[in-house]
Amino acid sequence: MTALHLEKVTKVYRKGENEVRALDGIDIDIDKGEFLAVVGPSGSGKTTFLNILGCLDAPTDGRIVYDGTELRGLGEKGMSAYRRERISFVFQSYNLIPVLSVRENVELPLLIERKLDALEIRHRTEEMIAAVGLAGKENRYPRELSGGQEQRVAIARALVKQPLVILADEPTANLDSRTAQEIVDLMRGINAAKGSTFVFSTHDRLVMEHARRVVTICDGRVTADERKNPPSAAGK
Amino acid sequence: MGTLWKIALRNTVRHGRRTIITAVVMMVGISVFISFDSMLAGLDRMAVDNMADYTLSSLKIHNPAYVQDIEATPLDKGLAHPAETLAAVAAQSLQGAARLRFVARVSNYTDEIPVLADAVDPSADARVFKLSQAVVAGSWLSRAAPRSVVLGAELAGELKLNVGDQVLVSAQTVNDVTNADEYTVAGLVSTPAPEVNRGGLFIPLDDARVLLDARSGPGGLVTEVDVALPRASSLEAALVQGEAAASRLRTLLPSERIDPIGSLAASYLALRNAKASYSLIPVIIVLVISAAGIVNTVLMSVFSRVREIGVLRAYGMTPRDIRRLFTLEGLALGLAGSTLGVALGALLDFLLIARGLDMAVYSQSLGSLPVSGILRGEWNPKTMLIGFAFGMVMSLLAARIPARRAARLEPTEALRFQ
Repeated sequence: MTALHLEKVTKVYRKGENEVRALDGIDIDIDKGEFLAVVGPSGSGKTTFLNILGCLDAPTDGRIVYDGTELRGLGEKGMSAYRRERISFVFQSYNLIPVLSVRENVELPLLIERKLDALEIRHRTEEMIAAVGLAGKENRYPRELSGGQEQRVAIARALVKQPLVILADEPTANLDSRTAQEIVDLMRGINAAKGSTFVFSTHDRLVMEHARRVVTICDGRVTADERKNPPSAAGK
Repeated sequence: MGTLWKIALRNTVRHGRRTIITAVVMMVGISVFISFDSMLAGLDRMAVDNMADYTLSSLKIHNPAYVQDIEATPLDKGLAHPAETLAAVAAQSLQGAARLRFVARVSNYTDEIPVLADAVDPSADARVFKLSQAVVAGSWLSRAAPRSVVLGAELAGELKLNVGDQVLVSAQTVNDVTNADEYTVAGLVSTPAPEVNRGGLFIPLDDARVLLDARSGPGGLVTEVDVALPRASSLEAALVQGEAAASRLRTLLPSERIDPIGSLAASYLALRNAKASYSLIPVIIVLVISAAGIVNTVLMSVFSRVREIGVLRAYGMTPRDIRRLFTLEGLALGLAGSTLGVALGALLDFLLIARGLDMAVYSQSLGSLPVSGILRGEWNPKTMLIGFAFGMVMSLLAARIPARRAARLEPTEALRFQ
């Protein structure tokens, strides 16, 4: 089933008199349960692509259909609401809220979403913390964690609201290779077990090797789209 | 909202030094405001009390026609029934004293100074005014020592007069003829009221009536009856009490003019309001500085957390949520500053009330204001409330500037911020 459908998506930035075509007519379908890596040289448009998938930025032209719904002319409020419910992010530098504990960081998206009661929030939060292997560290603060642990918290935070898609911008770039491997294994495991859809940009060869589909973007266009094997059975 | 409060409060605690500096500036502003107001209220109280004790009394009863022409101190417009007037005052269980005011000239046979003389009933006057306690040399008037006067200390100094010296007092009689007589200086008074010290002449009623050729005895000439009221807890209470006593006396003495201290000191009270607002200027400056401090602190908080704002926006917080988050931080700062300010203000108030401030040091620079002695502050819960509310409102307004800036950040730019 298609999670995201992009048709001739274009993004043009104006810098003074110059026009920069960050995305130049992207057509792509991303299915639920995919584990997709977006690769390409710096400045190729990867981040813009993720921003547009993440409703952080609106395309200049083209259509995007999210899970059967076309979001067009939603405005800031509508985009915020969509992000709140359907999209999660994992960042290169983790970006946990420093004044919140592990538990509070993980439950934050649910508190922002305001859809579940306190008991359900607690239950889901604990489940996610356990799933990323941080049970027992619920009351620690980000400054007391290693980089790998912080990224695990960020992944738990991204998964807790069971989003349509998790967008990760260079999630392993700040980690050493062993920790990077662990994080990739973790994401991959969750992808297989829960069928969560992951789209991440990366330069990391290791991450590319684990991806089931690698989309190469160059100068704002998709220049290669390689599927290594069919999406997992869990990805319904 | 709970999450926003949690993040806001923890951030104010996390950046403890910044928070403390901002809160301390605010604390200083608000506590100065509170104690300043307490001091001003105390100063007013002191001034009005001094007027009541040395010059005006708490309540004056005149013939209405006299008041119309009060500048001329007309001797033909005295009280119609002074004995009944005093009886009415006594019926209210209040102390009253008859006085006869006239224009006189005091001379040491070489120099002559014009004064406003007050002829008094020596014993009754001492129960209404505190002049008898302000005698610095000699003694207050008494029936036992007729043909004597009490002078303001500065007036006596100017005429080089001492206790026991003879003075010549001249005045226009009720028949508009000039008359003069010799009196002995019984005592000198030095009071907190400068006009008494510079131009006070007090003479027994009987002697003055002889000098002025006026009616004497129980129904003799009296231009005013002065009334003392019990000391009230505050200036406001004193004004209210004066008004209440005046209206009771008005029903008993419908044909007389009755003025409580509130109207007698009206010009001073009007002046002090103007003075009070000028004196608040430095306080307002301190508070504006603390507002700038809040803008700065919250702005620093915004700048140090741009990426965090990006994350919150990415997770679906609206610009309004972000604005609220930083407004709450400002409010938390305001709450800390206002609470500390009111606490310190109350402490300063307490010291001002319990220990007081010796005004002797300042009396010279205050010029003609009737203040001296120990200045005591006054409790002012209203001012504390105003100070607190002002601190909160100010921090709310100050936080709006950085909060709006934070809310305007685009999530994509905020996330890219290094």
